[in-house]
Amino acid sequence: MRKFIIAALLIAVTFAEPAFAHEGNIVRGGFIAGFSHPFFGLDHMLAMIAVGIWGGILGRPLIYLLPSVFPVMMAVGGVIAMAGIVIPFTEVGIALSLVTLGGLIAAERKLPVVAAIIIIGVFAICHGFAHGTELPLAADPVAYSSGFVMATGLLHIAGIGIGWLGAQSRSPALVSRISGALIALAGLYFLVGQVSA
Amino acid sequence: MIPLALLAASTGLALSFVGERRVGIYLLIFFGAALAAIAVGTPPILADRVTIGVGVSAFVTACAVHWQWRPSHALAVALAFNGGLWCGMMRGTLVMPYECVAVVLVLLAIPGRKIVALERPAAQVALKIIAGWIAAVAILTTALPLMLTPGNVMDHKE
Repeated sequence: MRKFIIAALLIAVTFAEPAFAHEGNIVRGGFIAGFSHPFFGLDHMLAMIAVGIWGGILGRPLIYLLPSVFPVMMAVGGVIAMAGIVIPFTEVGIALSLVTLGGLIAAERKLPVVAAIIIIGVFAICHGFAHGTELPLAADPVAYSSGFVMATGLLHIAGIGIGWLGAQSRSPALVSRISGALIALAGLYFLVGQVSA
Repeated sequence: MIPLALLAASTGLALSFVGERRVGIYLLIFFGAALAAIAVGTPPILADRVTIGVGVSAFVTACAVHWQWRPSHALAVALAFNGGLWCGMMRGTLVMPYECVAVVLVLLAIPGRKIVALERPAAQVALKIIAGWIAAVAILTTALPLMLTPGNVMDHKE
């Protein structure tokens, strides 16, 4: 029962949507817009959850290093985009992040700390770059990006929670394989879409 | 105000990990440095540079939380002094008195110390993840005011 309640809370936090009671009067692009943005892009959302799941599988110190490195490098990617520097194929990189992370989760692959941080850092720059190019001019950029980072962190924690619940189950390896395979399949779908576009 | 809050919060988080030593000493160093900086005053012409300095300090302090599980005495003194100094300097550039925010956030070191003392890995992991978020927001709050945002372009979801 307790596990069910925790799982229900995690799902509620992950998919909760803000109420826009007076949407016509508010200026878009503030904290709420930034906070809600990751929840409406399946590619970004899955990647952030995957980071948490993989961190949970890898344990200390990566259980907290990966969810810390990802938003930091994502911020760096966003700043690169806003500085006008072009990084090619970032959308392909985002799709590849899902394929790679999904595969690593499915295989329960434990990499060295530095290797894991480099992988997460590179993919985080792709995600941050994609969002940096979308930051609206009319928005409060600091509030928007702060909300975005906050939502990213919550998705990481949701991922850690999913990984933890999987580890508590009767067949942890099966949970990892299924969740990793689903994430990798979603990545393949996005990758095919990018390549064929 | 956001950079000030980030620096105070990251200093409070860093001081949560000082181990058996008394957090009060480091908080006194923080407040002493802040009061000294407020007393000296900050010329308005330096406001932009102070804001950047506060943002960089917030980032470095948040990263220091990840540097090691328990900061050394010298590192804790340096972080407390640096945090107080920049917070005091920034207080001098703000129109509204936001020092209460900084005071409350740096005092989070006291409950934070209790949480770390519980020796529960999950609680310590949570504090370190929060430090990562602060580092990310510090990068953005420091860099964004220095550049123009690209405007309303087609969203990748559209």
